[in-house]
Amino acid sequence: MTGSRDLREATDQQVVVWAQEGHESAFRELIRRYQRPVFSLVYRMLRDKELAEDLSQETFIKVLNHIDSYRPEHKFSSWIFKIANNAAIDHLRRKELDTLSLEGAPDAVTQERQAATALQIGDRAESPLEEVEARELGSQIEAAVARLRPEYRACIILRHVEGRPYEEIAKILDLPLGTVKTYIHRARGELRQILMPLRE
Amino acid sequence: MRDDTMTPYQPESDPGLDHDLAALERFTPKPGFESRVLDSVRHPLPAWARRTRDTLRWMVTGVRGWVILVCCSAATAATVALAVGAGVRFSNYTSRGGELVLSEVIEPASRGAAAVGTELANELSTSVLGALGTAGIPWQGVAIAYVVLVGVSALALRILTRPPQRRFDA
Repeated sequence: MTGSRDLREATDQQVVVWAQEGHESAFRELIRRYQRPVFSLVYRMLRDKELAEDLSQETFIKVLNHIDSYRPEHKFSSWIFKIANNAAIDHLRRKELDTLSLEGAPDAVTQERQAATALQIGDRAESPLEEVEARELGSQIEAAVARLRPEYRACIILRHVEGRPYEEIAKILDLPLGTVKTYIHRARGELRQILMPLRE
Repeated sequence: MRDDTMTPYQPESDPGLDHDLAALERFTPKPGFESRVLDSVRHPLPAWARRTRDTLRWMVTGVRGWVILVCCSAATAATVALAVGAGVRFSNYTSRGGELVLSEVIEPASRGAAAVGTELANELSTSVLGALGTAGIPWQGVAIAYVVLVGVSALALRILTRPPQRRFDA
Protein backbone atom coordinates (compact mmCIF):
# COMPACT_ATOMS: atom_id res chain seq x y z
CA MET A 1 0.00 0.00 0.00
CA THR A 2 2.91 2.32 0.83
CA GLY A 3 6.36 1.95 -0.69
CA SER A 4 9.52 2.68 1.28
CA ARG A 5 10.22 5.64 -1.00
CA ASP A 6 6.77 7.09 -0.31
CA LEU A 7 7.33 6.63 3.41
CA ARG A 8 10.68 8.38 3.36
CA GLU A 9 9.18 11.33 1.53
CA ALA A 10 6.04 11.47 3.64
CA THR A 11 5.52 13.91 6.48
CA ASP A 12 5.48 12.71 10.09
CA GLN A 13 1.70 13.10 10.17
CA GLN A 14 1.26 10.87 7.12
CA VAL A 15 3.59 8.22 8.50
CA VAL A 16 1.69 8.29 11.80
CA VAL A 17 -1.61 7.77 9.96
CA TRP A 18 -0.13 4.69 8.25
CA ALA A 19 1.20 3.49 11.59
CA GLN A 20 -2.27 3.94 13.09
CA GLU A 21 -3.57 1.69 10.31
CA GLY A 22 -1.14 -0.95 11.56
CA HIS A 23 1.53 -0.86 8.83
CA GLU A 24 4.80 -2.14 10.28
CA SER A 25 6.82 -0.23 7.67
CA ALA A 26 5.42 3.02 9.11
CA PHE A 27 6.49 1.97 12.61
CA ARG A 28 9.99 1.29 11.26
CA GLU A 29 10.07 4.67 9.53
CA LEU A 30 9.17 6.52 12.74
CA ILE A 31 11.93 4.67 14.60
CA ARG A 32 14.38 5.38 11.77
CA ARG A 33 13.57 9.11 11.87
CA TYR A 34 13.68 9.60 15.62
CA GLN A 35 16.06 7.02 17.07
CA ARG A 36 19.11 9.28 16.87
CA PRO A 37 17.45 12.50 18.10
CA VAL A 38 15.70 10.72 20.98
CA PHE A 39 18.76 8.70 21.95
CA SER A 40 21.00 11.79 21.78
CA LEU A 41 18.67 13.80 23.99
CA VAL A 42 18.38 11.05 26.61
CA TYR A 43 22.10 10.20 26.45
CA ARG A 44 23.13 13.82 26.97
CA MET A 45 20.67 14.17 29.83
CA LEU A 46 21.78 11.00 31.64
CA ARG A 47 25.36 10.40 30.38
CA ASP A 48 24.80 6.67 30.67
CA LYS A 49 24.73 4.84 27.38
CA GLU A 50 23.03 1.67 28.61
CA LEU A 51 20.41 3.61 30.50
CA ALA A 52 19.89 5.95 27.55
CA GLU A 53 19.34 2.92 25.31
CA ASP A 54 16.79 1.50 27.75
CA LEU A 55 14.92 4.76 28.21
CA SER A 56 14.94 5.51 24.47
CA GLN A 57 13.58 2.04 23.84
CA GLU A 58 10.88 2.57 26.46
CA THR A 59 10.02 5.91 24.89
CA PHE A 60 9.49 4.34 21.47
CA ILE A 61 7.52 1.41 22.88
CA LYS A 62 5.25 3.81 24.77
CA VAL A 63 4.77 6.04 21.73
CA LEU A 64 4.14 3.22 19.25
CA ASN A 65 1.82 1.30 21.58
CA HIS A 66 -0.27 4.44 22.01
CA ILE A 67 -0.03 5.63 18.44
CA ASP A 68 -3.84 5.49 18.18
CA SER A 69 -4.10 8.15 20.86
CA TYR A 70 -1.85 10.61 19.01
CA ARG A 71 -3.68 13.77 18.03
CA PRO A 72 -2.56 15.06 14.63
CA GLU A 73 -3.05 18.73 15.56
CA HIS A 74 0.18 18.41 17.59
CA LYS A 75 3.63 17.80 16.13
CA PHE A 76 4.78 14.20 16.40
CA SER A 77 8.30 15.37 17.23
CA SER A 78 6.99 17.37 20.20
CA TRP A 79 5.13 14.32 21.47
CA ILE A 80 8.06 11.93 21.29
CA PHE A 81 10.60 14.45 22.65
CA LYS A 82 8.25 15.25 25.51
CA ILE A 83 7.97 11.59 26.49
CA ALA A 84 11.73 11.07 26.15
CA ASN A 85 12.56 14.19 28.16
CA ASN A 86 10.05 13.29 30.88
CA ALA A 87 11.59 9.82 31.14
CA ALA A 88 15.07 11.31 31.47
CA ILE A 89 14.00 13.95 34.01
CA ASP A 90 12.11 11.35 36.06
CA HIS A 91 15.22 9.21 36.13
CA LEU A 92 17.42 12.15 37.12
CA ARG A 93 15.06 13.01 39.92
CA ARG A 94 15.09 9.45 41.16
CA LYS A 95 18.83 8.98 40.94
CA GLU A 96 19.92 12.58 41.51
CA LEU A 97 22.27 12.39 38.58
CA ASP A 98 22.35 16.09 37.87
CA THR A 99 26.09 16.55 38.33
CA LEU A 100 27.98 14.51 35.81
CA SER A 101 31.38 14.27 34.32
CA LEU A 102 32.78 13.37 30.95
CA GLU A 103 34.65 10.48 32.55
CA GLY A 104 31.38 8.77 33.38
CA ALA A 105 28.36 8.89 35.63
CA PRO A 106 29.02 9.49 39.34
CA ASP A 107 27.53 6.13 40.28
CA ALA A 108 29.99 4.33 37.99
CA VAL A 109 32.31 2.55 40.40
CA THR A 110 33.99 0.03 38.12
CA GLN A 111 36.18 0.79 35.10
CA GLU A 112 33.71 -0.99 32.81
CA ARG A 113 30.88 1.10 34.15
CA GLN A 114 32.92 4.28 33.75
CA ALA A 115 33.71 3.33 30.16
CA ALA A 116 30.05 2.63 29.52
CA THR A 117 28.94 5.94 31.00
CA ALA A 118 31.64 8.15 29.49
CA LEU A 119 30.50 10.17 26.51
CA GLN A 120 31.86 8.84 23.25
CA ILE A 121 32.49 11.80 21.06
CA GLY A 122 32.30 11.21 17.35
CA ASP A 123 34.21 13.14 14.76
CA ARG A 124 33.35 14.74 11.49
CA ALA A 125 36.77 16.12 10.60
CA GLU A 126 38.53 15.21 7.40
CA SER A 127 42.24 15.48 8.24
CA PRO A 128 43.97 13.97 11.31
CA LEU A 129 44.63 17.45 12.70
CA GLU A 130 41.04 18.51 12.19
CA GLU A 131 39.97 15.24 13.74
CA VAL A 132 42.00 15.94 16.89
CA GLU A 133 40.69 19.50 17.04
CA ALA A 134 37.12 18.40 16.55
CA ARG A 135 37.46 15.77 19.25
CA GLU A 136 38.95 18.30 21.65
CA LEU A 137 36.34 20.89 20.84
CA GLY A 138 33.62 18.28 21.12
CA SER A 139 34.91 17.21 24.52
CA GLN A 140 34.99 20.76 25.79
CA ILE A 141 31.55 21.67 24.64
CA GLU A 142 30.13 18.35 25.81
CA ALA A 143 31.71 18.88 29.23
CA ALA A 144 30.31 22.39 29.36
CA VAL A 145 26.82 21.21 28.40
CA ALA A 146 27.05 18.45 31.01
CA ARG A 147 27.61 21.07 33.71
CA LEU A 148 24.36 22.86 32.94
CA ARG A 149 21.22 22.32 34.99
CA PRO A 150 19.01 19.61 33.41
CA GLU A 151 16.40 22.20 32.35
CA TYR A 152 19.04 24.35 30.64
CA ARG A 153 20.65 21.27 29.13
CA ALA A 154 17.37 20.09 27.61
CA CYS A 155 16.73 23.55 26.16
CA ILE A 156 20.23 23.81 24.67
CA ILE A 157 20.10 20.30 23.17
CA LEU A 158 16.67 20.80 21.66
CA ARG A 159 17.60 24.21 20.30
CA HIS A 160 21.15 23.69 19.08
CA VAL A 161 21.37 19.97 18.31
CA GLU A 162 17.82 19.30 17.16
CA GLY A 163 17.18 22.79 15.82
CA ARG A 164 13.69 22.98 17.34
CA PRO A 165 11.93 26.36 17.43
CA TYR A 166 11.35 28.04 20.78
CA GLU A 167 7.60 27.40 20.61
CA GLU A 168 8.10 23.67 20.19
CA ILE A 169 10.67 23.53 23.00
CA ALA A 170 8.11 25.27 25.24
CA LYS A 171 5.54 22.59 24.38
CA ILE A 172 8.00 19.74 24.88
CA LEU A 173 9.17 20.99 28.27
CA ASP A 174 5.78 22.32 29.38
CA LEU A 175 7.24 25.74 30.02
CA PRO A 176 6.11 29.24 29.05
CA LEU A 177 7.77 30.54 25.90
CA GLY A 178 9.45 33.37 27.85
CA THR A 179 10.95 30.88 30.28
CA VAL A 180 12.42 28.83 27.44
CA LYS A 181 14.02 31.93 25.95
CA THR A 182 15.38 32.89 29.34
CA TYR A 183 16.77 29.41 29.95
CA ILE A 184 18.52 29.38 26.59
CA HIS A 185 19.88 32.88 27.18
CA ARG A 186 21.23 31.92 30.60
CA ALA A 187 22.52 28.55 29.40
CA ARG A 188 24.45 30.27 26.64
CA GLY A 189 25.85 32.68 29.18
CA GLU A 190 26.98 29.82 31.41
CA LEU A 191 28.49 27.98 28.45
CA ARG A 192 30.37 31.11 27.43
CA GLN A 193 31.77 31.45 30.92
CA ILE A 194 32.78 27.79 31.09
CA LEU A 195 34.39 27.84 27.65
CA MET A 196 36.09 31.24 27.95
CA PRO A 197 39.25 30.01 29.75
CA LEU A 198 39.58 27.21 27.22
CA ARG A 199 39.43 29.58 24.29
CA GLU A 200 42.15 31.87 25.62
CA MET B 1 12.00 36.13 43.11
CA ARG B 2 12.07 37.38 39.56
CA ASP B 3 9.49 36.16 37.07
CA ASP B 4 11.35 34.35 34.29
CA THR B 5 8.67 35.01 31.73
CA MET B 6 9.19 38.77 32.15
CA THR B 7 12.91 38.66 31.45
CA PRO B 8 13.59 40.46 28.18
CA TYR B 9 15.22 38.14 25.68
CA GLN B 10 18.06 39.57 23.69
CA PRO B 11 19.11 37.26 20.86
CA GLU B 12 22.86 37.49 21.34
CA SER B 13 25.40 36.79 18.67
CA ASP B 14 28.42 34.74 19.63
CA PRO B 15 29.99 33.06 16.61
CA GLY B 16 32.51 31.24 18.83
CA LEU B 17 29.83 29.67 20.99
CA ASP B 18 27.65 28.93 17.97
CA HIS B 19 30.62 27.17 16.40
CA ASP B 20 31.18 25.15 19.56
CA LEU B 21 27.51 24.22 19.77
CA ALA B 22 27.60 23.15 16.13
CA ALA B 23 30.13 20.51 17.21
CA LEU B 24 27.39 18.81 19.24
CA GLU B 25 26.26 15.90 17.17
CA ARG B 26 23.66 13.20 17.36
CA PHE B 27 24.58 9.85 18.84
CA THR B 28 23.45 6.52 17.46
CA PRO B 29 22.06 3.71 19.59
CA LYS B 30 23.46 0.19 19.33
CA PRO B 31 22.67 -1.75 16.14
CA GLY B 32 19.38 -3.62 16.34
CA PHE B 33 17.61 -0.83 18.23
CA GLU B 34 14.74 -0.84 15.73
CA SER B 35 14.18 -4.59 16.06
CA ARG B 36 14.35 -4.46 19.84
CA VAL B 37 11.68 -1.77 19.89
CA LEU B 38 9.44 -3.54 17.38
CA ASP B 39 9.68 -6.80 19.35
CA SER B 40 7.98 -5.05 22.25
CA VAL B 41 5.42 -3.08 20.28
CA ARG B 42 2.02 -4.70 20.10
CA HIS B 43 0.12 -4.37 16.89
CA PRO B 44 -3.48 -3.38 17.37
CA LEU B 45 -4.84 -6.22 15.21
CA PRO B 46 -3.54 -9.36 13.51
CA ALA B 47 -2.48 -8.94 9.88
CA TRP B 48 -5.58 -10.60 8.38
CA ALA B 49 -7.89 -8.41 10.45
CA ARG B 50 -5.98 -5.29 9.45
CA ARG B 51 -6.19 -6.30 5.80
CA THR B 52 -9.94 -6.87 6.10
CA ARG B 53 -10.39 -3.55 7.86
CA ASP B 54 -8.23 -1.75 5.29
CA THR B 55 -10.22 -3.31 2.45
CA LEU B 56 -13.51 -2.34 4.04
CA ARG B 57 -12.20 1.18 4.63
CA TRP B 58 -11.09 1.38 1.01
CA MET B 59 -14.50 0.17 -0.15
CA VAL B 60 -16.50 2.74 1.79
CA THR B 61 -14.33 5.70 0.76
CA GLY B 62 -15.95 8.41 -1.38
CA VAL B 63 -18.14 7.68 -4.41
CA ARG B 64 -16.88 4.09 -4.63
CA GLY B 65 -18.33 3.46 -1.18
CA TRP B 66 -21.77 4.70 -2.15
CA VAL B 67 -21.81 2.65 -5.39
CA ILE B 68 -20.90 -0.50 -3.49
CA LEU B 69 -23.41 0.28 -0.76
CA VAL B 70 -26.24 0.85 -3.26
CA CYS B 71 -25.45 -2.43 -5.07
CA CYS B 72 -25.13 -4.40 -1.84
CA SER B 73 -28.29 -2.84 -0.48
CA ALA B 74 -30.19 -3.79 -3.65
CA ALA B 75 -29.05 -7.38 -3.23
CA THR B 76 -29.91 -7.28 0.47
CA ALA B 77 -33.33 -5.78 -0.25
CA ALA B 78 -34.08 -8.51 -2.81
CA THR B 79 -33.00 -11.22 -0.37
CA VAL B 80 -35.10 -9.74 2.44
CA ALA B 81 -38.12 -9.41 0.13
CA LEU B 82 -37.78 -13.07 -0.91
CA ALA B 83 -37.45 -14.19 2.71
CA VAL B 84 -40.50 -12.17 3.80
CA GLY B 85 -42.49 -13.44 0.83
CA ALA B 86 -41.63 -17.05 1.61
CA GLY B 87 -42.41 -16.51 5.28
CA VAL B 88 -45.79 -15.05 4.50
CA ARG B 89 -46.54 -17.79 1.98
CA PHE B 90 -45.98 -20.51 4.58
CA SER B 91 -47.27 -18.58 7.60
CA ASN B 92 -50.62 -20.47 7.59
CA TYR B 93 -48.89 -23.82 8.06
CA THR B 94 -46.62 -22.36 10.73
CA SER B 95 -49.46 -20.79 12.66
CA ARG B 96 -51.51 -23.99 12.49
CA GLY B 97 -48.62 -26.04 13.90
CA GLY B 98 -48.02 -23.43 16.53
CA GLU B 99 -51.69 -23.45 17.41
CA LEU B 100 -51.66 -27.19 18.04
CA VAL B 101 -48.57 -27.09 20.22
CA LEU B 102 -49.80 -24.15 22.26
CA SER B 103 -53.22 -25.63 22.82
CA GLU B 104 -51.64 -28.72 24.32
CA VAL B 105 -49.56 -26.68 26.80
CA ILE B 106 -51.63 -23.79 28.07
CA GLU B 107 -55.05 -24.31 26.69
CA PRO B 108 -57.12 -21.18 27.36
CA ALA B 109 -54.33 -18.68 26.86
CA SER B 110 -52.81 -20.42 23.89
CA ARG B 111 -56.14 -20.67 22.12
CA GLY B 112 -56.66 -16.96 22.41
CA ALA B 113 -53.09 -16.13 21.35
CA ALA B 114 -53.14 -18.57 18.47
CA ALA B 115 -56.45 -17.23 17.27
CA VAL B 116 -55.12 -13.68 17.29
CA GLY B 117 -51.86 -14.81 15.65
CA THR B 118 -53.67 -16.69 12.96
CA GLU B 119 -55.95 -13.77 12.32
CA LEU B 120 -52.98 -11.39 12.01
CA ALA B 121 -50.99 -13.77 9.84
CA ASN B 122 -53.93 -14.27 7.53
CA GLU B 123 -54.51 -10.55 7.23
CA LEU B 124 -50.81 -9.88 6.63
CA SER B 125 -50.48 -12.62 4.05
CA THR B 126 -53.57 -11.43 2.25
CA SER B 127 -52.37 -7.85 2.09
CA VAL B 128 -48.74 -8.66 1.16
CA LEU B 129 -49.66 -11.26 -1.45
CA GLY B 130 -52.26 -8.86 -2.77
CA ALA B 131 -49.67 -6.12 -2.99
CA LEU B 132 -47.23 -8.40 -4.80
CA GLY B 133 -49.92 -9.55 -7.20
CA THR B 134 -51.26 -7.94 -10.29
CA ALA B 135 -53.25 -5.46 -8.23
CA GLY B 136 -50.11 -3.28 -8.17
CA ILE B 137 -46.89 -2.94 -6.19
CA PRO B 138 -46.64 -0.10 -3.60
CA TRP B 139 -43.52 1.45 -5.22
CA GLN B 140 -43.37 4.40 -2.82
CA GLY B 141 -43.13 2.03 0.14
CA VAL B 142 -40.47 -0.08 -1.55
CA ALA B 143 -38.45 3.03 -2.44
CA ILE B 144 -38.62 4.43 1.11
CA ALA B 145 -37.64 1.05 2.60
CA TYR B 146 -34.77 0.79 0.14
CA VAL B 147 -33.43 4.28 0.96
CA VAL B 148 -33.71 3.52 4.68
CA LEU B 149 -31.82 0.26 4.11
CA VAL B 150 -29.04 2.06 2.21
CA GLY B 151 -28.78 4.70 4.92
CA VAL B 152 -28.63 2.18 7.76
CA SER B 153 -26.03 0.07 5.89
CA ALA B 154 -23.90 3.17 5.19
CA LEU B 155 -24.05 4.23 8.82
CA ALA B 156 -23.22 0.75 10.08
CA LEU B 157 -20.26 0.37 7.70
CA ARG B 158 -18.86 3.77 8.55
CA ILE B 159 -19.08 3.08 12.26
CA LEU B 160 -17.42 -0.31 11.83
CA THR B 161 -14.55 1.02 9.71
CA ARG B 162 -13.84 4.39 11.33
CA PRO B 163 -10.34 5.01 12.72
CA PRO B 164 -9.78 4.42 16.43
CA GLN B 165 -10.76 7.14 18.89
CA ARG B 166 -8.03 9.55 19.86
CA ARG B 167 -8.23 9.81 23.58
CA PHE B 168 -5.09 11.49 24.89
CA ASP B 169 -3.41 14.76 24.27
CA ALA B 170 -0.03 14.75 22.65
